[in-house]
Amino acid sequence: MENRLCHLFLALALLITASPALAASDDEQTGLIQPTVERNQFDEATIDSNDFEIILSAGYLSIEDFAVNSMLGVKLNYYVTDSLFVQLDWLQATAGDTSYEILSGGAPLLTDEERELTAYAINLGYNLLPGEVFFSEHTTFNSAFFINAGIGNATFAGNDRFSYNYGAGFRVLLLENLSLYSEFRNHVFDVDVFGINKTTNNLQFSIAVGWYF
Amino acid sequence: MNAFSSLFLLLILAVTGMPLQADEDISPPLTISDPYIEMRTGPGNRYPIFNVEDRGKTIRILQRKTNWFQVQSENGKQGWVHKQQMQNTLLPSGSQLQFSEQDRSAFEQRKWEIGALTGEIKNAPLLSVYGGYAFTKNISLELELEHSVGNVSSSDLARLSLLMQPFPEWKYSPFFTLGAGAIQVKPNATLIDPADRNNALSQVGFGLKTYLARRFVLRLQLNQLVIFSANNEEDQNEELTEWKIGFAIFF
Repeated sequence: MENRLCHLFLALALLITASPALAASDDEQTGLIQPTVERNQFDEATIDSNDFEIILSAGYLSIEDFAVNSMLGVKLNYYVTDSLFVQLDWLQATAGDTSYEILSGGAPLLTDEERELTAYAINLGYNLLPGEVFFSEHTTFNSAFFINAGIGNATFAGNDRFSYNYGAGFRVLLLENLSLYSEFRNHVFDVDVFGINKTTNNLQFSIAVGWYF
Repeated sequence: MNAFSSLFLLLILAVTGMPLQADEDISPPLTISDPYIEMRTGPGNRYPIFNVEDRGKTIRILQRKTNWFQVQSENGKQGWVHKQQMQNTLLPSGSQLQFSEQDRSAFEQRKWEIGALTGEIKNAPLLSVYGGYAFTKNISLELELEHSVGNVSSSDLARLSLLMQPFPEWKYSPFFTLGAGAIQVKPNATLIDPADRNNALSQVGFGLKTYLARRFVLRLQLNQLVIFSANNEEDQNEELTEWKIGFAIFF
């Protein structure tokens, strides 16, 4: 509301000052002194600020012992500075069969529900190598090679598991606010499905599209 | 997908669902009053300077990313200029462009705060997200959702707490909290006879907040929790200690 008022005020101010000749002739005709309009009402909030980015990703997640599976994810980045960002990360994948299950042909180790893997994490990222990509003679895109790491939770095989993840990726800004990602990460968490507690490395490769807002 | 996970997703959606700014070109022409300003190819001081605009020329703001402004010069060149140089441009009225500083004083004036913390509760790693609303400089109300994963169980915890910050102007500002909530403990599926347990809880805690940069706050907290688990079988309430460290963004 306040914003709109400011816009109106600004528009009015511009309108009045854009026709100085008119205003002067008015003065002469009426003999009235027009009030000086202060135009330093520029509101910072009207600047289109793009510090957030929503990212949709798709790719492969290798769940240790449970084959390589397709995954989907969504992330939210907040850019604290031009180099540093914080990230909320959520992903989902369905685990495949272990080699044992395939070879023995016996009872599955996990139920369908237990095969669902969901993970979320809070990450910190850094644009390590900002740069430009020279696509053609007249087309240049801004880009960045970034690293990020964080902690979170992975729900797999019926249990919540504390996880940490780290990775690196490459971002290309195709349009002013549209980016394309290619990313490689490792999700590390303990799995006790085989009777012993085992630390697993679960590698993820994904491509993604991001939108700044 | 558990409840915490879906809440987390909801948080992402809630933030992204915030009303978008209409990106019409509303910036008035700004006159350069520094001897010159440097336009870079990207928002960051590691991007190269490709164009320099002299004093007296005008530029218009297209958008902003962190402390960098994408501007358009009179002859249509678009580049990124740092806030420091933008502050020395003049509005049509002749006054300097003013930006509200996202600094310590803005932090003291904040109304909303959202953050994420990590730490340990009873030696189990935890992750929590919270949102807070400040009624005054000193008093705010916070809702926190926490998830922890132990060796034999994982737990979800929700709590509402009142936070008291007696010295908001200090660089390392201490605070005290008093809260109440509920905890759900889920034993691991591999255990015999796993049964979920729901209990009410209360909490006292203290901690420190310190302003980092822009909209960023670092937060450290130590809590003492009492879980009202007394029942027919065990007549002792459970007491837990937790510590957390994390960051918050304020608005």
